[in-house]
Amino acid sequence: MASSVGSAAGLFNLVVFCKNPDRVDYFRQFILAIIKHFPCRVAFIQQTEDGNEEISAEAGSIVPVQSENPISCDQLLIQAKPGQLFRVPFLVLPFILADLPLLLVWDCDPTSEQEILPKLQPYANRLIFDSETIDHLQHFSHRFLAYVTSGWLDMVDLNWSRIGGWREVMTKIFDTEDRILHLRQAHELRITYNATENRFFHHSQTQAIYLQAWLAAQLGWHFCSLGGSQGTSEVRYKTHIGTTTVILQPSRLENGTPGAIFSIELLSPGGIQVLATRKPGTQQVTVHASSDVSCTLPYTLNLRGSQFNYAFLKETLYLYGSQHYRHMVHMLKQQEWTRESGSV
Amino acid sequence: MTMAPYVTFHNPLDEGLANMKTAAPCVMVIFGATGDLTSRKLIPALYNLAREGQLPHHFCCVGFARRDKNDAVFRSEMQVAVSQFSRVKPIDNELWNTFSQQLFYHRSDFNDDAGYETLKQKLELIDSQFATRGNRVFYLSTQPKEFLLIVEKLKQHHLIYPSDQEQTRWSRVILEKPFGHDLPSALLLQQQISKFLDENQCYRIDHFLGKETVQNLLVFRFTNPIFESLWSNHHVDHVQITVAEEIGIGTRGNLWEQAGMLRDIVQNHVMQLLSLIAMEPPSSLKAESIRNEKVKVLESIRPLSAEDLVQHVVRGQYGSGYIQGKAVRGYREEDNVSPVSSVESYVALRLLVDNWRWAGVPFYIRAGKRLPKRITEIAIIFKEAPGALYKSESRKHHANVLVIRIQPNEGTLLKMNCKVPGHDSTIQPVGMDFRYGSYFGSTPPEAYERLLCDCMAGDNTLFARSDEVMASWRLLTPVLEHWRMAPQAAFPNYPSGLWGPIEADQMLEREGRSWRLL
Repeated sequence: MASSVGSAAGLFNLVVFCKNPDRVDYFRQFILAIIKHFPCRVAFIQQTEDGNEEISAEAGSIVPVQSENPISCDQLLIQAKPGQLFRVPFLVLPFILADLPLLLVWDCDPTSEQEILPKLQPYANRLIFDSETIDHLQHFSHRFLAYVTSGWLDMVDLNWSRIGGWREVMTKIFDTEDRILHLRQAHELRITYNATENRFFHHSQTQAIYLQAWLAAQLGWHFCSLGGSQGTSEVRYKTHIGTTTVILQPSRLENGTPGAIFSIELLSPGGIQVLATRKPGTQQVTVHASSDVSCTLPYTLNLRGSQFNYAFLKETLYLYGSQHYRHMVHMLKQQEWTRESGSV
Repeated sequence: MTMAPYVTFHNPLDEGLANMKTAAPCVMVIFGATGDLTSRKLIPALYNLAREGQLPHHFCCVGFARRDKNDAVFRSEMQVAVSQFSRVKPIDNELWNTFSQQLFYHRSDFNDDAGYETLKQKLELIDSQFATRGNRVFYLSTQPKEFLLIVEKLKQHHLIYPSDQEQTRWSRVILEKPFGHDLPSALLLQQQISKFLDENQCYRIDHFLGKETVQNLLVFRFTNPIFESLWSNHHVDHVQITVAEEIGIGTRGNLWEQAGMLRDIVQNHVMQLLSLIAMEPPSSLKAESIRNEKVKVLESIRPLSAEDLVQHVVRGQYGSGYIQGKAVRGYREEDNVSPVSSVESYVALRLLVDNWRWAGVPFYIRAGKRLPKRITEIAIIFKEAPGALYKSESRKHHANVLVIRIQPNEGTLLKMNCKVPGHDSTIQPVGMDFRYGSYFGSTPPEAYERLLCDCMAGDNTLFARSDEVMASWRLLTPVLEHWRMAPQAAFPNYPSGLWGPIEADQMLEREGRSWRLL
């Protein structure tokens, strides 16, 4: 287990479970990004159908950045067939570095995985999961809220972190009482997102769903109905002055990140229009705002948090469980987003 | 003293997100914008804040200086500077194109009323175009002798707002160190500036306080009770604070001849480190709570008696020597330095903090240029184990030491004793070593990034309060007076490349101690 190169460092234990073989590469990249900024001891569990062995474990080390004084991170790679997953905790537990936090990263619905998670959960400080793997958001929302109220550990959803940049942008655009009022009174909100899919991501609408549910929850809108056609979804909310229609508009950028949000457009009484558009290929959002009587010069905001940068990782690994996320999940509990409806 | 009453509302979208401060929309005017500080530190800091999304989206920066140039030239020069001095390279051209559109240049003399009026018009135009809401930060990156003039002019032209009228907009002034050159001048400057500025509008910057490792001092002390329980005269023998540089004064001869090490480093950086190390736990993490405790420590330091000034204060000046094998010239041979200069490039002193926690524990301070290496650290040397066990070995190896390395190799080291494997009981000191760089791989923010962001966010925790500044001047001005009255110093008294004058070693040896070998 000792590293052969560099000095070993570990801020915490990171146990990653990847159930879907197609997503192994994605999580390898995720692990590399984490250990580059936050060296840790990694146990990477892959469910597999391949190979002769029912379960195998291989110890080694990863050096994320080559330098004069490289830092290496211990890694335990476990590959197990579905019927052998129950043995995984017995391999992981001895590998854990004492006295350091234990973070779990789960590439499947944590509320329904019963073979590994229940045995590690008592020792864990945080569970990070990817709701990309969840087919039915409404059912998941019910289960999640039940877990949370029963005192489950701190849970962080990667899709929530992925929209962190847009949440910040919206907070910065609507940063006065007047602007929040315009937002609250909006009669239309259009979120355009990248509807392409790739081998890692199939639920391209999730980030847009999250963003609108978050806004609705924070602005005090009441859910009325969910509909739509030809891939476009429409969510109607009751506001304190009328109704708002949120439109989730798919668009396609083949080389872009599936699910990434391209733009948010708001229309409010008084001819108020706010359009925030991401400049292609950059981390910048240009904001245009106008009304019947005035027009401000466009300005630019920096969209932080491309998938694996420092800000994204720090929020995912360190920030306390989000109240806003829970509010959003409460909102999603009322909304039946399913693959059959063309959504999610 | 009135509180800055800038009112904010609770934004339902704001959850503190990434737990980072977000500064309010504002315009920053940098006086002396053609100087080194702007190009090496300030603009690169603002650029990196923009890069990390921490710059207010409604933000502009105006460089104010005498030299004749325009916006385009200033932007071009700053692009070169950021390319060279940004902590993250290469620069993001897309981001720079946007960021640079928020940089402007205003040519004027500091005493030109017309210049301030046109500045005012420029800022109002910027407010209307960039929605900066009338909020102002004035960074005085100038010689201290210009501070009062500039502040007065800003007030006269209504660029600084009365503090009791700051409901919807605010104005703040950042002052570079040194604040005064001794106690009378600092008091006078404070008295004069306070006619124009409320204390809450005044941000006295000390970039040491923006360093991650200095901020970590409070986290280290007050989240690790195992150490806090040892943090007193019951267990601590003495404390050593070292600020060592291998560089000389470079091209700063003119400035250095007016200042010296005591004014340039000890009065500000070192006293800040001492106060953070010696302070009591604050009642909260609010700025005033922390600053109150720091002032209490400074005011508890025993004034230096006439005997102390002779026995417990050492000054030095480097002569020629070798740094990393290369020959270097002495202080008096540097450019713009008098060949008979008595200005010190090295100071060592012993201070005593007369409170219940620290009574009897000497704080030894040394700060110097042209020392063998660049290092800033605080060493807490603990008392030796009582009794006669294992005392047959050299005493030098018995003391536990907790070292907080401020720079370089930022981190913490705990030195303890172990047995060397074998049949006897040979003692070997070993170090438990935590290094920031080994754990947190990313490049931490530069000190100025943190400080500028804090100022724009209205958080003055990391800025020196007037009573802190006065307390340290009150302590150290007698030293300056003593030197001024003393006969010509026998300078130079240490060669470049060694650890300072022998008198500094003797100061500790008289008390049965020695400087740590670094």
